[in-house]
Amino acid sequence: MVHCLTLISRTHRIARRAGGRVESVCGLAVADADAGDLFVADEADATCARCAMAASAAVVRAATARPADVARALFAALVSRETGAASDLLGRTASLPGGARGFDGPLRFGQAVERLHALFAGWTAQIVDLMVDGDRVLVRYRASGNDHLGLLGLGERFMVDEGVILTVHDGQAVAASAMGDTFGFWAAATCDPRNPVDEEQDVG
Amino acid sequence: MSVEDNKQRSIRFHDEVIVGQNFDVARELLAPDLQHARGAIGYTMRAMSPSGVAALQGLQGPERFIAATKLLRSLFPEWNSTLDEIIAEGDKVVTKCTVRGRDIGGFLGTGPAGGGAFELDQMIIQTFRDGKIVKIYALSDELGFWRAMGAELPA
Repeated sequence: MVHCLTLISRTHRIARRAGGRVESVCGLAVADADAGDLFVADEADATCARCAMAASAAVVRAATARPADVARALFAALVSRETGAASDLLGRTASLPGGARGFDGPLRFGQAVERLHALFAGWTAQIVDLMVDGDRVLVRYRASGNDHLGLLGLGERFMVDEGVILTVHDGQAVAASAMGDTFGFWAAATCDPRNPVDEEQDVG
Repeated sequence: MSVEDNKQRSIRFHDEVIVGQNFDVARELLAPDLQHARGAIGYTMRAMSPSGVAALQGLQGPERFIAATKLLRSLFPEWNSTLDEIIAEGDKVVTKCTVRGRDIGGFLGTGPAGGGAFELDQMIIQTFRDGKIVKIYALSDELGFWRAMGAELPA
């Protein structure tokens, strides 16, 4: 038997889960067991036009309680600066223990992202690794940008490896801790800005 | 080995090797072909003891890791680590640790009012194969660490 869902594989974004059923943004409803990879698109790859609109993080928030999706949506907001749409993805009392920065609730997240992009033109980042363990998500990413204001005095172009661990409850990040390899960033920038930080660099 | 097995081995590695300095356990848990990606606080070690780090170049696998750990301990004898969080998926385990110690040698300059005491967050990513660690990669806020220690660096 050909499963009907194979005809629409990796097409939709999830709007809600309830009563053992999953509804897509465009209104399709399937049994929870059927709403796996064959039904759900990765990231913003939904080809269903209505589901594709869920690239708006606000819709994603309504959409899903899956920690990985919340992390990806927040990361997308960090890169795109569309933090308003992502504000529902952060708990009002979200906090960052351990010296992490910028995630003290939606307001501070928005402010931090704006400041980041204002200070470092062209700031962008790519996810290197994403791991999920229960309600926690590790996102390891490589960020780059331009120190066009000369704030760092390390050369215009920079690249740095960073990681953040999010704790996600009910579709919202409620805590996060982050750290960056700032010395690697500094070393690369001061030694040779053209030479990006190499993950495999052996420093003992 | 299951994800939970890898977690338990990672916890054991932290407690018995990183904290306990039991290098027999290191040899047990590290694969002979261990890949040394960026080491925990590696840039600091290179800056503080370039000759010590250079001496590591002739070593491979677990012995290299052990020598690097001993070098680190020689630079910071009061080095200690607390495992705050552990995340695992597939063949990878991530531990987030808080490292505390004291720069008793004054390696990093003037040192803060606290007498050189420091605290440093680390995120260590280990890749397992057949119950052994085949790759270690660490993220540390070393620049923040140096600044906290009073070292003069670009603003």
